[in-house]
Amino acid sequence: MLIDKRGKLFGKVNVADIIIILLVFVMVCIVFMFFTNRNVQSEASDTIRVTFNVDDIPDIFSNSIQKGIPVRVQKSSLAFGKVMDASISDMLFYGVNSRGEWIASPKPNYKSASFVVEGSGKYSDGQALLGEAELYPGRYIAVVLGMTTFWAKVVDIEIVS
Amino acid sequence: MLFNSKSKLFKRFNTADIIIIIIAVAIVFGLVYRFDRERSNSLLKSPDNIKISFYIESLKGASLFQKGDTVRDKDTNAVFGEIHDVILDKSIDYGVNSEGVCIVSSKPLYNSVTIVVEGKGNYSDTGAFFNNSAYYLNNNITSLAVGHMPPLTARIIKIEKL
Repeated sequence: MLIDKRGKLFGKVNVADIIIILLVFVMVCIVFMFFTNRNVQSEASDTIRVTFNVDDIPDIFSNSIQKGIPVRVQKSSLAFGKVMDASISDMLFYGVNSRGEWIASPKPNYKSASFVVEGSGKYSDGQALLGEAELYPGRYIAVVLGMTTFWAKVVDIEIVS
Repeated sequence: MLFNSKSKLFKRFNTADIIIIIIAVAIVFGLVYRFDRERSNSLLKSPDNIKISFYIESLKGASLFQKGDTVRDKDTNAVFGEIHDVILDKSIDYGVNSEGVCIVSSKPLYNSVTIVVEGKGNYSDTGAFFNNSAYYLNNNITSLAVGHMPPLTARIIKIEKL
């Protein structure tokens, strides 16, 4: 018998003590998880910069993309990096003129944006794993900056270090 | 004594059973937290009063919206609340002139609409939760059900905690 008649493991440790120790351990783990993004940093080894493009941004939300803002994956709400650089421009609309030629002109009330996100993760074969975000050029992903969500396209991935 | 001489709690559970149960519960909480951090947080909070505004650039029949109509997301069944205000303006429609340049004009009989809704949800600095589904600014809701009207596509333009 591992536990004797007095409820002691190997005749030395009380099982009630073990339960309390386990509970404390679990609580410490939960508290630790609340205050850190453990999964984002756990296997981080490379510093990676990812460039995103976003179109169809209503004017009122174009100011939401600013340097220093954490970027999260909408699906999991976990941050995978911070905006290092951002540029806003007119959104281009393609129309055909009376001669049948394609013309690019700004779409009123809308903007396009390009922003660079830097984070820690794994990089291999042109793909990056930042936190839970699997990123590769051409992928569209819903990202959240502050309280605003954007449907962003990955256009470039590079290793900083 | 909680534990009897056979080290059984209330004469039913073995301490080893209890340890296994505790570990299983901890693992479940850990997994829920890991995959759904904010949603699991929202379950623990009491609901907030939230004012959320939806915007549609061009819609026919917007005058049929009435204060008190229930507004929900048909895809998730999240209920945002009831219409507090409906703001109508000229519709915003995009077209191309003879030069191929994009221009804005208003379509007759159509309006741009802002639907202001008040309801219960969980508000945080990173989004709002209704029926355990997360919503953000600039979210395009593709199945917004207003009263008994057919589902609409609308964009969230404002979220406020009241």
